[in-house]
Amino acid sequence: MSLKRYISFSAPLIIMLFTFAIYISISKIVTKYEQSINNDYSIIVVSATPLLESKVKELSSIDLKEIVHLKREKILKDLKSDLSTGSYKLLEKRLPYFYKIHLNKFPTSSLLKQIKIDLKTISGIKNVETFSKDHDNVYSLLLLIKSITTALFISIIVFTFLIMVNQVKIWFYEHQERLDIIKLHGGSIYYGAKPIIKTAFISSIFSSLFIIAIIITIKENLSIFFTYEMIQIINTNLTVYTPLEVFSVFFISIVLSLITVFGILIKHRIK
Amino acid sequence: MILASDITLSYDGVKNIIQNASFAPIKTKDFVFITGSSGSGKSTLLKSFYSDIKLKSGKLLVNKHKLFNISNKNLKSLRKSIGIIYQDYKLIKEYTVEENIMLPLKINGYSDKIALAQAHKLLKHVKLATKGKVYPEELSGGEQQRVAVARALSHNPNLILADEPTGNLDDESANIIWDLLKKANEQLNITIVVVTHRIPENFGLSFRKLDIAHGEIYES
Repeated sequence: MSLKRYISFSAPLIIMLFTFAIYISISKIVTKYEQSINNDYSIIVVSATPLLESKVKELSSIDLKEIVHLKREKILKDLKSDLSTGSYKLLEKRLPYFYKIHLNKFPTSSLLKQIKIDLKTISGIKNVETFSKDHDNVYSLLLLIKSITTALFISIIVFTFLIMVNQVKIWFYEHQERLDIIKLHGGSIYYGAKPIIKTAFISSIFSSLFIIAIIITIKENLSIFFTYEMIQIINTNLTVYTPLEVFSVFFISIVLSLITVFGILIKHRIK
Repeated sequence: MILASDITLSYDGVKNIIQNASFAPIKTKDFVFITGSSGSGKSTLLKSFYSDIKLKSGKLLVNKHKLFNISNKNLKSLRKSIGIIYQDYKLIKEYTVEENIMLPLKINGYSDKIALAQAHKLLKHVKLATKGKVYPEELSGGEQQRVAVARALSHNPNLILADEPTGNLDDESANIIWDLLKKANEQLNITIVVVTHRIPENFGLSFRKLDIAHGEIYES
């Protein structure tokens, strides 16, 4: 097999793997960003009576991390100097309880609305502030990019698969005479197709290594490829591939290649 | 070796090339010529022996394999047990002469070392000892057919089927091929079945002749 034949199989595979790498990176950026904004985010609840954690946990819309009770004493202490003794005592008596609710996962806008409605069903709660207007626009944008990347990745897998199927069909056509002779001598189609399987396997390994090299190059030269503002979002740590992600690049590449070859092999089985 | 009873052969399942034909069993060490005019069905009959043409009806046994509705597994087993020589040689052009001869041995599961040793031995036998590393296209037609004979002999089959093996060759090359086939029959006790237009004069061996005409097989 000539180099041209390896490249004709590797090229669509490389494009697909590159999309996969982008998909992984976007997912990691979104997850990391989600964690970062979630740490700074909380819902403020004002309640006439002490809020029971168990009551909040009962609500299906809330993935509760913790409830922080804001000390009334501190608020009262801050106001003490400005109030008369009578007013202070009245305030002490009527001042509601304040809580900060931290969630395990940064909520979407629609979930926030639902959380607000659900929290208000708990008796005693007078007000809930979700800061929905401040809900992060960058996060929404990242979610949109993630959805687009996912759709793009799936589309490219389909197109790549079709291109690879056509390429393998061409290989089989080129090898048809040899395959026929081997079949006439009692050899299996798998025996005859060894060079094709080998080419597909080598191409998939080459494509995986090529993509990993590209990713490392981009990671090491972020300033060439992205603006300073972008680099702030794309934390350099995010583009480092974990062993599992490297494995998944190889896995997708090899499995897709072999499925293509063996799918067509089955059609050519000895009759 | 080969048993045929009431066999009907057809390419398209509609028009029968051979119909309800039978012939006496072909036994070990028989040398059989299948003759007939062009289009009579002699190649069709030979192809049916290795199931390249499916049997439409009747009973056909080759090397104890029943060929009617033969399974893939049995078909592979049958083809591994016989040697086949074609008019157009059917050598793999991407393989060297050595590799072509090694092919049936490799398919039969022999190691590279054993297959290569056998290829060298057979290359001497067909007087092409120096041509092992060359590709088939670098050889003359006669030389390519000698490689095809060597390939057919490589895995020590008990039956060789040859379809017009001298059809594309000059007289000198054809005589070499006939000599090789006669030696295989005489010295190695291999049964040989050859499709040919013309049986060579002064063949020098006793043989059987199956003549095909009008879809029937006549023995003489």
